[in-house]
Amino acid sequence: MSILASLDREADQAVRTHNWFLLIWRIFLYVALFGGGFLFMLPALWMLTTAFKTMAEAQSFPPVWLPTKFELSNFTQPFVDLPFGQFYYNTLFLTFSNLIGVLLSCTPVAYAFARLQFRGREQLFILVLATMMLPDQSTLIPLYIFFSKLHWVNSYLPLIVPRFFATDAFIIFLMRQFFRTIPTDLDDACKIDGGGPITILLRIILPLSAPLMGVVLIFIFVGEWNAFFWPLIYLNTMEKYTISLGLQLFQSRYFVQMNTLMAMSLLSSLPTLILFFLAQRQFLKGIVLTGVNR
Amino acid sequence: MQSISRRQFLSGVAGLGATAILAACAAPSAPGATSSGAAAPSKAKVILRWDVSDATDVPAMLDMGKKAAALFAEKFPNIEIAPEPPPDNAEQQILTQMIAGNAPDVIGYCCGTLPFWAQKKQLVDLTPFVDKDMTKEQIADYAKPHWDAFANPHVGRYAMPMYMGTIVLYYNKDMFDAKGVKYPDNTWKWAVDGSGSYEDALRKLSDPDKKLWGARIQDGMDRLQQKIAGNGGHWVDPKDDLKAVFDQPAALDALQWMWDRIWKDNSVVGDTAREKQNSEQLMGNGRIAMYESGDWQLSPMVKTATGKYKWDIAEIPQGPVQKNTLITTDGWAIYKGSQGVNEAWEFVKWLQSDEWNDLMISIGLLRPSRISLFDKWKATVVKSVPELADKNLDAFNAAAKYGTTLELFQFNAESTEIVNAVRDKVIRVGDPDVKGKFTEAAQKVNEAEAKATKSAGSLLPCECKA
Amino acid sequence: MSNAIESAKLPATISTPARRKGLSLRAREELIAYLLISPWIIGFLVFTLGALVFSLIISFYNTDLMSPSKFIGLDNYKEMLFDDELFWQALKVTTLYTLGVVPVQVGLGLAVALLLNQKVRGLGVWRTVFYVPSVVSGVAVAMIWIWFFHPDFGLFNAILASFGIKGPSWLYSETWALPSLIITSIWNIGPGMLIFLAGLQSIPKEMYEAAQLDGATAWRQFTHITIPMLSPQILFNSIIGIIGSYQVFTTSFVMTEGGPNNATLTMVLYLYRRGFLLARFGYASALAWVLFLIIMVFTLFTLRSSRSSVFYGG
Repeated sequence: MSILASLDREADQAVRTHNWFLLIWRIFLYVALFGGGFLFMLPALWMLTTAFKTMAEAQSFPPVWLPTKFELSNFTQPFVDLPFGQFYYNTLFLTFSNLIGVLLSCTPVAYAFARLQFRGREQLFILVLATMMLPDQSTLIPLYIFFSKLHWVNSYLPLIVPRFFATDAFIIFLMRQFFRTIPTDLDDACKIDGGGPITILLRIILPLSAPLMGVVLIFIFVGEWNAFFWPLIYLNTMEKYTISLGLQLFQSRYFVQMNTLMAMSLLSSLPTLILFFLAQRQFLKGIVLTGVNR
Repeated sequence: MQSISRRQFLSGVAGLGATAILAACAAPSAPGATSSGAAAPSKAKVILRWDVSDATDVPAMLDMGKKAAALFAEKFPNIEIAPEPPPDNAEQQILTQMIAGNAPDVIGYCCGTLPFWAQKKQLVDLTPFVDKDMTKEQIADYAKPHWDAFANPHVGRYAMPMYMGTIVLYYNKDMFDAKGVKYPDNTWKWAVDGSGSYEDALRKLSDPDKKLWGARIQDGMDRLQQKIAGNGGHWVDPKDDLKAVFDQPAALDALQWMWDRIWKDNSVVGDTAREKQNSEQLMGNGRIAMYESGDWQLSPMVKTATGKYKWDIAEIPQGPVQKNTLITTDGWAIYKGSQGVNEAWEFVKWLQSDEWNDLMISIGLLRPSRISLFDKWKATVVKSVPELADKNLDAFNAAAKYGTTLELFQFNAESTEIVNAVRDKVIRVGDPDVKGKFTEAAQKVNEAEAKATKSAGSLLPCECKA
Repeated sequence: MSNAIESAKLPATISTPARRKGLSLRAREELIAYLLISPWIIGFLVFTLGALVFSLIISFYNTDLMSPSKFIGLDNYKEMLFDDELFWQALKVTTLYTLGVVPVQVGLGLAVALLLNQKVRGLGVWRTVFYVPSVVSGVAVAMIWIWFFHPDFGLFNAILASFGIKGPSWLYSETWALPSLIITSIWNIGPGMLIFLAGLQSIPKEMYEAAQLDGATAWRQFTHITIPMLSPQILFNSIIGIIGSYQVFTTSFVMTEGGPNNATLTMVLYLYRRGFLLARFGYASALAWVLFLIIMVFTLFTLRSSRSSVFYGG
């Protein structure tokens, strides 16, 4: 009990005030956190230990949990064999350009669909959703032909330019759902002051959407960082490769270098994990409605 | 005029939407090293995109690719080779690029996919180039089935050999010693009724209750065919590649033999029971004493077995009718849409030279297709990997003398689905009606081939029907 | 590129013409709305519409896109519906997968979001822990799953064995392969969870304070404030879940290759095989459009049935 109490102020309080229901609730919380957390961390833990194993240990069944000697070359050798530094640079470049593109183009679109009245709004919105419903494998060929006619293949243009034209229906839909929940009486106050829709978007909607923007930022970043399907299609030469394309080079037809693959997967997911940790702290801490009525 | 040409069709359909709007905005600057550069006057440098293939581990392939490009540039200063990493899922990536007219000029790939692309008229028929540039002596330097494997009467010669992989028997000496079983040698045989020396050893070395097996024998079509050939049978009718003959007694008996080992005496690990472990993993973990595999296993074996257990290789045990093994068919092909087919041929020809083969041996440890280079391969491999010095590397070379290659139906892609399903049902899941199910599948294959012939008749120009 | 940025920035600088006199407030709003969605309209016309129309048109052709094509009307669709067992198998597999995955991702995602919305020590670390599986992607993860499902040494059977139960052979069994793939989706609740978390954070605290003053129990607050206020996110996660799971490809492509004996053959995997392995692109496109219709029907049904139950502010 003392462990829990030291972990948790409210549990401590519950013991002192004999609020047993609250205490049981707090205990349940921590059991769920530790149990669920362990389960969710397992894949990453296995990845972590495998990343330090020798090839023989990485392949042994039953699996060896902890490596007997730490094979640090799993982390260094790939940078010698392949231009991984270049892959990181390329991935960063693509991720940041697309982050800008998606945020700039999708926010106004989502806002219009969520808050403004115009003819054909519902039908157009169904069309937005519809663009997600055809599998990538079936639009791959026409899109590839299209971009190769523009001589854009083996450049980043097919991966970047469309993102500046609100082609991310997922993000539009997500933003729209959140924008719609913001009470409209705030708009009215702004309208009385002579503010148009754009003023409302900048002064009311965006400041009230910090949690949403945090989530959107994480989604775009993770999505772009890990993107595989489309970069694989449009990029041919190795100088243009991204990290996730580089990772597939550890597999050949007959053989997978498991330990190197795990080490490099781990390295490649670190930036996104750090971003996630920072972003959730910044954005997911709750907002106070009255605070914005300045 | 029901059918329209491919170009009209593609440009018509892809032109829909607002392609034009964007085409107008886009600066027509050509990006980096695409083959479009080759459209320039013929005196300018020709740039050839080269998919280096994933025949062995990719960083090594890319390393070879870079060095090859430099060596080749010394000889042919007006041809520039631009190596590209093999894309994941080449069936999708390369085919898409082919349809858009934008595939690599020289492509390294294997198995049924190359003839499939050839059938779709995406690969250059190399017959005239070979006739012009290669002597009888040069051609005689290849094992005949290996040389012949890259050509068929429908599409001509669609590729040149890349390297030669042959299947041999890997075995763990320690496990043999522990059970007091004699090491495999050239006298080993298997028999339809399971009474051969191979099966005898398999049973002695296995312990089904403890999930220990005598061997892993893979169940891919190429491997099943190899067993069928050992029993004197065929997969595809040698006289008619639209007809399945794996419903003939010789073939069915071999398939039954395979089933018996996996499901009757549990002496061979089935694909389900192996649970995604690689052969070297299974052996390293003491689950199997032997496995049938190719040269590419040498490197993983050295990496995982050194210091743990003693191992060696032997030739594949002889079948009831004849000695046989599989020769793999990785090849170099030239894309039909290439702007520099002659230059690409120059390069593919160079990929048969001593110079390239030296590179391939020393970096990739791949065995050259040319028999005259086998000894050089052996010497180099032993020098660069001392652990291989005491291994019976001659087993690989011997296999080149009696090995055969993958048998393919004319419309093999169509049949693959049928064959995979029956293989899953019988060999993988264990349905005991081996003969019934495979006979049924053979009929389905014949029907699918007939159907494909009919629909291809309306699709492909007449030269393919002949 | 610079054009793109300009037009993406358009909305911020456009207010001048809209302020012109003579336009009613309503018309002005409509004009601004169209301007705001114009990037999407351009993007749709240029980058999306062509590909959609292309695939729709070729679904009426017998074509490998490499040799002359032949118009065959509805033959592809007819073959699919009346003469193709694998199509029905793929439809069954995909529907079962969706029915298994969507409730898990929505229900469990909500539960974990509620958990991670409590005042506990090290909240940021906990949130990161639950999001880790969604960040790590690709081949490496498939390898890990294959190990987790390993019949002899895998995690799941080890857990079952500790209860004295002999586990199935998971990925290698016709019966258990699909459930195995569904189980892996549990680890992928991160994005849905995050959306719920953002939704929870967007609920004004004043609402709970007011309810507490009225003496509402925690449960009542949950059913009367939390759930209604989260309904837009529940709707979002359900629709995205349906769209995503009907198009599942990578999981079965990497982990089971559709096997054993087509037990995990999903619609997109089947489409991929028809398209890229057989070069029957007309047929593959017909499959894609049938899939499109199915997803559309489900989405519209969900949208419509949510109309009365989803609460939007204002």
